[in-house]
Amino acid sequence: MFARIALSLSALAIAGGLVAGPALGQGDANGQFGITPARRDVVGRPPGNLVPTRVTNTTKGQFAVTVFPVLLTQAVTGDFVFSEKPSVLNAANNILTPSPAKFLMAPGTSRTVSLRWNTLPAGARAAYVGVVFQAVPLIHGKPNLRVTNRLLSINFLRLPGRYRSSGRFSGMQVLQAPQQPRILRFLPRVKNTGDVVDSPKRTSLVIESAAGKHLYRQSWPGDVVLPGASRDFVIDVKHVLGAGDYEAVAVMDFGASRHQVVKTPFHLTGPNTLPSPAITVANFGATGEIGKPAHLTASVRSTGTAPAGTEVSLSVFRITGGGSDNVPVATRRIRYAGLAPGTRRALDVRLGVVRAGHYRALLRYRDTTDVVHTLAAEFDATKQKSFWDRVKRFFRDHGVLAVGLLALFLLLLIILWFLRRQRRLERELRASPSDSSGLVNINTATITELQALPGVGPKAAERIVEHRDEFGAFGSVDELAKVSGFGPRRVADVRGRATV
Amino acid sequence: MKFRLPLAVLATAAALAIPAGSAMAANTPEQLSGVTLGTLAIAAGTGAVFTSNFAPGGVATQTGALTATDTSPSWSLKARDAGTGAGHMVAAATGCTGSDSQLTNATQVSITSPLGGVTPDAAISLSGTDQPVASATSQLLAANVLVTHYSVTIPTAQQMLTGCAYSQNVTYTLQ
Repeated sequence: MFARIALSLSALAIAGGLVAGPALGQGDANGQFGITPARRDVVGRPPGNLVPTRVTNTTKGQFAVTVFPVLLTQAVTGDFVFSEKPSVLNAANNILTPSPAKFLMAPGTSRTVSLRWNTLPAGARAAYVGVVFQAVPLIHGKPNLRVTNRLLSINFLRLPGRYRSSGRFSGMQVLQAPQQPRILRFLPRVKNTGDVVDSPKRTSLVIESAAGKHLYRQSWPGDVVLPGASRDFVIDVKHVLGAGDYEAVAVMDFGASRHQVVKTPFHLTGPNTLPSPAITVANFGATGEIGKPAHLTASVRSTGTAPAGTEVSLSVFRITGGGSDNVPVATRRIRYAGLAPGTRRALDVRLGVVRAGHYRALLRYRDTTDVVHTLAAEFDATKQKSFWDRVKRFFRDHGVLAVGLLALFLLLLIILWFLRRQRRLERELRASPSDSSGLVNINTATITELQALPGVGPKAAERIVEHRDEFGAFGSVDELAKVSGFGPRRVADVRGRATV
Repeated sequence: MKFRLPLAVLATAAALAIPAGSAMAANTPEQLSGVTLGTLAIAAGTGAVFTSNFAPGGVATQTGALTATDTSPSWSLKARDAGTGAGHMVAAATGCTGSDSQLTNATQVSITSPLGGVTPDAAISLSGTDQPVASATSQLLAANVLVTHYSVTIPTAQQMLTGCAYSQNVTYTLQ
């Protein structure tokens, strides 16, 4: 508290010094439009005057200055933001009123602006009010780009009394620092859960290996967080870590909340290099046949080192009279999510219905760096193709696939032929003249089957079949003697194995 | 603590200059004390003029200097277009019959800095709302000069007749 009073009074002294100080001269080429103090943390009871703001113009130009209060909120980046809607500005002006609100500042001059704290919003014990000091250079000539300078002073105003100061981490992100390769950026998010402005203290960030070994440690600067707000603190780490798995551990005290900790594991693919998603869409093509949908094709590839996704927007326009119709014939959006590194997806879409004419197809997608890419393809609607045209086109467009399908077809034919042959043989076997005792029926047996009889070769079997065909069925086995080449002895040999 | 007390006494003595001056007024309101910190200052120049390629089919570029002071190590600089074009250059009210009332593309702004701790954001397309162009979390600004880069891409189909002046107002906010 003692230090706070000393600081306050020192600031007053500085301000007082400026009031009573010497003239600033006529300004210089490197001069600026400035204010002091830039920040106030005031505990008191309104109405009353705050330490006035000293406004200086050390430039060589003249400014038209406007001063107005604004109600502050805090973005997650830590920036204070405000609305300039008249109703909000009026509300801010009711709390804190600057005077004068408008004035001219000649080169090399300074003046004070008083700030009267009138009140607080009903029921509130604190208010967070900014004061914008806007300086418009009064210049001759008409530059394309006119410039206005604004300075935002921050004022934390609160009634005396007890306040609860507490905070916690609500997460931590790890990023590759933008435009600074090989620098890792850690963003612990701090939420002020108390009812007073405060900031993290006794801060540290520790990087541990996957085995829990401490590899690196640094502190990080704390800054104010408004009650109820969440703010990311930027911690850039230049210490080089190799590829591998790590854990980042951020620690802080926030008011009465001691030793708050947040841990985030992360993986590096190279020295201080996080896995980075990347996605490309290429080989965009479009065709269309009259009366059928437009056929759009492309290749979506995940080219980074982390899973990537995108949304592809497809549109088909009919081109008429030198320009394409404003209204697309058809549109479609396709979302790709979590594509693993190195994977490729074929986009194959049929869209709308094509009439005779010329068409333009557009493919738009946003890459992982938020850049929007547009691919275009044009086509003339063609007449519908015959079956053989389609077959030929299929072979042309899908050569490898077609050869594979053909080979598969041939293989299936071979398997089918083999199965049919097997089935036929089985059928023949079932219809074979052999009865259950193994006898060969000489009236029904084939040439092959007849050769199962003892002493009957292909020639003899052939003669048996010829005889059977010529004279009809045998009445008994003994009638085999009528077949050329079959004597009584040969008939006797087969008698025990043949039947009719 | 040993040095703080004399400092505070000195500061108190110096501060008496203000009440003394203010006592001239009959109804002096109560002076509310507290912690006051820092100085903010900025000079973004008097503007910039696109001198070349400011025509259909061209990419007009220009640079400027922005001097800034911030005694807080955590600061941010934002830019926006406070005019009617919301980022797009607008044709003058007179002398622009037959010309497009504003340029198709928004003006791009980026900042570069020789200071190590300054994080220049990627180029922004100016709009009606504040967008960060540079920031720092542990880098004081002591009248440091930052370079502002402006660029506008003008399509070939843009109607810009000779004599028609286009302009816009870029507002820089330092906090």
